[in-house]
Amino acid sequence: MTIIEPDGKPSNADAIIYVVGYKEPPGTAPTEVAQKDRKFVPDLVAITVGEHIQFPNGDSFLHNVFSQSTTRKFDLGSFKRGDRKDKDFPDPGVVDVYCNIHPEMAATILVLPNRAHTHRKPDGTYAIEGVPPGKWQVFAYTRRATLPAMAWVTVTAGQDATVDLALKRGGEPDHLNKYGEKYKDYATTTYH
Amino acid sequence: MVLVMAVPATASAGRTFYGWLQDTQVMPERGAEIQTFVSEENYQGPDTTPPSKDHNTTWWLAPAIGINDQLELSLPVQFDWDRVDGSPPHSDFLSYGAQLKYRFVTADPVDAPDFVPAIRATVDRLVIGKRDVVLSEVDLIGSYQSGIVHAVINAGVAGDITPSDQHFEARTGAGVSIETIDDLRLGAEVFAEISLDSDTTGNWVAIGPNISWSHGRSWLSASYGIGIYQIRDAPKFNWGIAF
Repeated sequence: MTIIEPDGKPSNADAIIYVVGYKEPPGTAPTEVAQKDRKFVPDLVAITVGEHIQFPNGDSFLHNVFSQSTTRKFDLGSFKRGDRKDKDFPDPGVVDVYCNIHPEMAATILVLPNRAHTHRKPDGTYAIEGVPPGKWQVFAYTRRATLPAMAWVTVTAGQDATVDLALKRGGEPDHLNKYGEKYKDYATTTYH
Repeated sequence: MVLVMAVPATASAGRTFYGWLQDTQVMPERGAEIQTFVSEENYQGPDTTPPSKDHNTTWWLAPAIGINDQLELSLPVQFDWDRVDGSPPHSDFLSYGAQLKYRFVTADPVDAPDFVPAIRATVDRLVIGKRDVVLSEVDLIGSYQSGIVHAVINAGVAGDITPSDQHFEARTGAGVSIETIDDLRLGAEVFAEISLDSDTTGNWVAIGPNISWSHGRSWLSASYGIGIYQIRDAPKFNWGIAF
């Protein structure tokens, strides 16, 4: 699959490819999204409905994690290095996650109906195993994508199916803090 | 006597949809707010001849922080204006103290059950009079959320304790708050302060409408209690801002 930056150049950005149309139970192991060097690492993850994400703070100063997305609104408060907060995601959808202290921190969580999702490899390929036979929609999404890419795929038992997808990226959109306000300059202060 | 009348001034606040009633809302961990309220208890007291009615206005102000996602600490100071009919009015720096509110279940709006129990405990030192009075209060709070309807019930006991004497009263009430437009809520509540001993001069019951509104980092709530027992009216206005 290919990703194109706003200037028209190809991108090596991370992307998630996922299949929808059927449901599977969640896994038991939580996914981890760390806060390190004022970034969410990784900043794009996919989980199955009902799974948890842990947010450990790996920086030496306080971080907050919040979301105002309609799929999952939450505010984990502020927590220090070594602490981690856990959040469950019971409904499917897209969840944009930010830090109320550091406006440059942003991540996207895709909460999907099944486990048929994977990351794009550095060479642009991907492989999703275990998709049941049938006709399904395949989506690709990267952070800052202007729109998800979608294609139909027909899966036949014992055979591989190939789908090529292309995404366009836009700029990083501005976001508001957890109070619905613009971030102040002092919001980048490092609180210990 | 003046001291006894001053003590029942309610030392309660915290983020709430209600005027006089405690709610189960708490701040997230390391959240910080300035919270305040102004309340009035007008023409309070028993019908006697000659009348000896108390008019009391309280200003309560506290920084509040989230210890964790379920425990909130406030450090209030309280100012009081008081006038008993026939006596000159006086204003006082009444007390300072600490308040803890613990919510027994998660504050996450998705994971929280419909019924939320909480407990609130306060200890304040009275700095007027003999300066040997400790004001304390313990409240059990229950809230119930169903769609746009939020209801709450309070059952508490407040006391002023000196080395030689104690006075206790029940502080109880119930209310409902309904979400209307955006974050504007309207409802009604009833609130009572009832002595648990023989001194019943501070007893009162009021019922009335309430309103609350949150906008960004600030919130406010208020009620206008119309007296139905030993009080003419009891308005209260709460306000807070997070930072």
